[in-house]
Amino acid sequence: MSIRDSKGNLQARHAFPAYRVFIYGVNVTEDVLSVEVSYNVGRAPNTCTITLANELDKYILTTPEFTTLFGDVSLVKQAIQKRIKEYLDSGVDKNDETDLGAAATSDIDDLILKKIKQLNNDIKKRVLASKFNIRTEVIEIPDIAGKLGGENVRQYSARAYKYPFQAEDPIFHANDPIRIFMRDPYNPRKWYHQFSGYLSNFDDTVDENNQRILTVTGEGPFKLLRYARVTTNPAVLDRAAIIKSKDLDFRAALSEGFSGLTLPELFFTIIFGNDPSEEGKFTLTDTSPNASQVRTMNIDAVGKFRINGSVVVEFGPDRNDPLILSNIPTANVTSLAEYQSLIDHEVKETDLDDMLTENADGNIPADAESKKEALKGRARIDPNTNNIIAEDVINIIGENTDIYPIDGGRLIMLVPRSFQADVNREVLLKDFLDTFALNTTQFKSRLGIMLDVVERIEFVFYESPKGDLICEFPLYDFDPDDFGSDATVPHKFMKGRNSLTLDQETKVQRGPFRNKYTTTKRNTYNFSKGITDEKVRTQVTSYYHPLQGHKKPGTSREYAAPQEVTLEHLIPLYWYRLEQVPPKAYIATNEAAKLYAHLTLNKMNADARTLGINAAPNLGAWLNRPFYFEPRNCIGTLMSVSHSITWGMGGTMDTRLNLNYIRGWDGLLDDQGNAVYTTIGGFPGRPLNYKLLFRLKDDVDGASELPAIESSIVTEGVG
Amino acid sequence: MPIIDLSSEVFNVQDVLATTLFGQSRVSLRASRIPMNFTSTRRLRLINQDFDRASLNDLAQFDVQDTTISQGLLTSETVQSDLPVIQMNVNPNSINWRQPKRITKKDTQEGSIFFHFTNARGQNNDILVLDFKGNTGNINLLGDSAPEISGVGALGATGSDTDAMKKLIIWHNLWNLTRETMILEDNTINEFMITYSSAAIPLEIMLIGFFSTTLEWSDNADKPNSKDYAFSFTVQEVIPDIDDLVKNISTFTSDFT
Repeated sequence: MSIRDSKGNLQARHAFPAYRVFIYGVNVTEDVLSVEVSYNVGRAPNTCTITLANELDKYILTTPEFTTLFGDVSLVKQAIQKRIKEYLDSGVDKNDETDLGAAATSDIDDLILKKIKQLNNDIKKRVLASKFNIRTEVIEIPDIAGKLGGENVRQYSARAYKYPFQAEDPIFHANDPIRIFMRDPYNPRKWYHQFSGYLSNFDDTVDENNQRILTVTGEGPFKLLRYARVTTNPAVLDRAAIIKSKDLDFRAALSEGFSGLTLPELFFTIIFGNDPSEEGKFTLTDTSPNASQVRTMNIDAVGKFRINGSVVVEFGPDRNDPLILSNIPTANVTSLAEYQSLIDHEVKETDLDDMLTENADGNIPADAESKKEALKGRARIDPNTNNIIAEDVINIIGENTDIYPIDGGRLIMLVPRSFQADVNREVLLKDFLDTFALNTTQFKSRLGIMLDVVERIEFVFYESPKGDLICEFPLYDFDPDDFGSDATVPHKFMKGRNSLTLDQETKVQRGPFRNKYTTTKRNTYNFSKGITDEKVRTQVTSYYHPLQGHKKPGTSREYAAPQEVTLEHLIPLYWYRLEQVPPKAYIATNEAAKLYAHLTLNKMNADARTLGINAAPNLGAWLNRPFYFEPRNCIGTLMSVSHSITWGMGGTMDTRLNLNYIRGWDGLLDDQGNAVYTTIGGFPGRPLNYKLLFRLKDDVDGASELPAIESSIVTEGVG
Repeated sequence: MPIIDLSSEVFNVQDVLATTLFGQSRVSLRASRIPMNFTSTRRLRLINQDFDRASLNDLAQFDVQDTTISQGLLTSETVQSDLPVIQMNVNPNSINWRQPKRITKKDTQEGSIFFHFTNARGQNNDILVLDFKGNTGNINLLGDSAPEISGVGALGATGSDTDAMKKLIIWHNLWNLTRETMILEDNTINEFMITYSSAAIPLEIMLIGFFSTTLEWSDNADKPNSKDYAFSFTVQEVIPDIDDLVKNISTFTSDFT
């Protein structure tokens, strides 16, 4: 075997894996045997799996420890006796049991804390000390005496522990924050945010050799949205809003209060809430024609997501039919590299400022700011860059969950600035909500509503490794080149400016991104590429749904006529394979029905060709990005990514990539001689091409000049 | 820097630990034999019940004057109980140092990646393991007069004093040490310590870790009066740090010459 490969690269190269894992703000890295993070497009959340060496039950509150800390009755006795004596001595009202109890509680807490400090294990000591005495406000327990068979049960009130402990359970709890960082194994100076989420499950295993392993799994911040339910039934919140002359409208209003909002309005409202008093983070304005019903409602925000930096990023040439985004912050980007620099997950010193928590009103708390500055002041400086070294940035963010909360991410939405005039934009941004079946609004999962919406219009909604919530239009028609071959000065969005600014003060750079969306043979362990004939469809019909009532449905011939999309170029090979797709929600025009048929056909055929790659570590891989796979000379879209590190002798580090929307090369070259990748059958095989549809090809760095004939086909296809 | 008197064959625990820890270690540039010592947290607590890992850094409070283990001081009491420090009458005759690298080779379709799993210093060294092999020396009690140990010398020995009884007791203590508990009654870890010196490492060092095998030995008719044994020891810490050995040795040798 030669020393260099065909491209002159050394055949043998070094890689230096490393990770940092924080649970509940505690660095547990030393005990991590293996760690895996997974990201997905779709309904599956980002997850992490952490395997911890649990020697001597270091992460378990053992029965003897529990007995010592909490089970010692003498603690209570000591505390109460001390207080009783003080009360008797002071001559206060002996019947004032409330004060007496509170004081005794405080004394007990002091005694428990003293015992916690005597524990041998530092991690256990730290976690217990910060958790054991956090209580809720007084909760009234319902009186069920005599009602449910509990004759002896009496109503009482008590304060609940936020973190209840039980003997032999882990010291961590569900929803404890988890952050994971991984080092670029080829460049030890670079670190990446790789997971941000909440603890979900434990698996405490002890084998016959007394080997103790604690496996912890976590989910991304979507978890909050999944459990946060919301309803906008105007019958409850605003009866006036449901008074309509038409029965169909009445029904629609009842069944989906969010109807009429644009996609950005819906997402901002669900995440940041709607505060008509304009004192909260976000308020819907009246500029959105269909938002009036929702505008007057108080809708609670969920989590601490930051509106500072949250933005709708518009991409592409000027729109000719402006979106109405009310007061939602928007900004334009001129390239996808610029956009990617906004959400990039490489650890930089600027993260300390950009990720800082904010109040319910969107402002940064003064104590958070001062704490951050103090931490920065103690951090080590890299003499080469004069910036804080990545490891210290990691420690500050990982350990200080109060000022860098898991649910403190931003909402970033990437939407095209322009739709072709002949495309019904509303079908993408407005008419997406299910209006069937129900006469009353249900409490729905916030995440469920958002995923329902994006699934219908084929947008994607996912969590970034840093904890941001990202909603993007599909990028499967783009190429890795579109994300630029050079590093870029990062861009950031400042609240209220409505534009992105270059972050030149810090002199940091992000990217380049193109090489992160490419896998060569040199970086491939093995792969599997599948072609499933059964998943190919060549013809789809849909029709518009006129039941909404407030639009004129036209004649029955008009609205009943199915809108059909046929991939004529694929008929010789695959025959006619017809699929009928009734719209999930109402669709207002025939054109919209045709577009919906296109979208559905794209989705159906996306999984016909798939690619699974076990690759060398590629921590820059990003969901919903076009990905070039050299060994099979094709471009696909990343639908799931996972990174895993198993530490130590025999350990390894892998990246697993799953792609669909595969495009191959059928001999077509652009005018610069670069290969043009298309679906099977060429451009006619997927006539709804986003890159062409949004006229983005001229504005993309390094974009291939597509043949004129293909553009005309596209126009024909969507027209 | 003072040079410890190499002619003395009587060392106590404090000497051994203190000199090792404080860098005033005995050196074996001369051919003089320095006996190896084996002990554990549990055994050191037989001397001082408050002993813990931190005590290693503050040996002034470690009163071991009465527990000297050396030639001629083996008593019937010590025979009956665990030796706090097991000082070898006959050092192991072979000690093999093993420290593999934490490297995993992973082949790609065009080339290979070598994953180095490094520590905070960027080193990819795996855990140090020492394989000890030795021989008990003559443990034939019939040849041992051992008059000072009541009842033992009465086995009928009429020959010279071979220290057979002492060697046997030490060997059994060593065997027990390799099988000792890892967790003490107060739930602290029982750590094991070895002091070590040789021509290759003339500075006496202390190895802290645990036994990865119990003592293996064979009863072989070819060697009726002595037994071969072997065990492995996994090292968690070396005092002084193994990376600083060369610096320490340089200091010692410059003082010595």
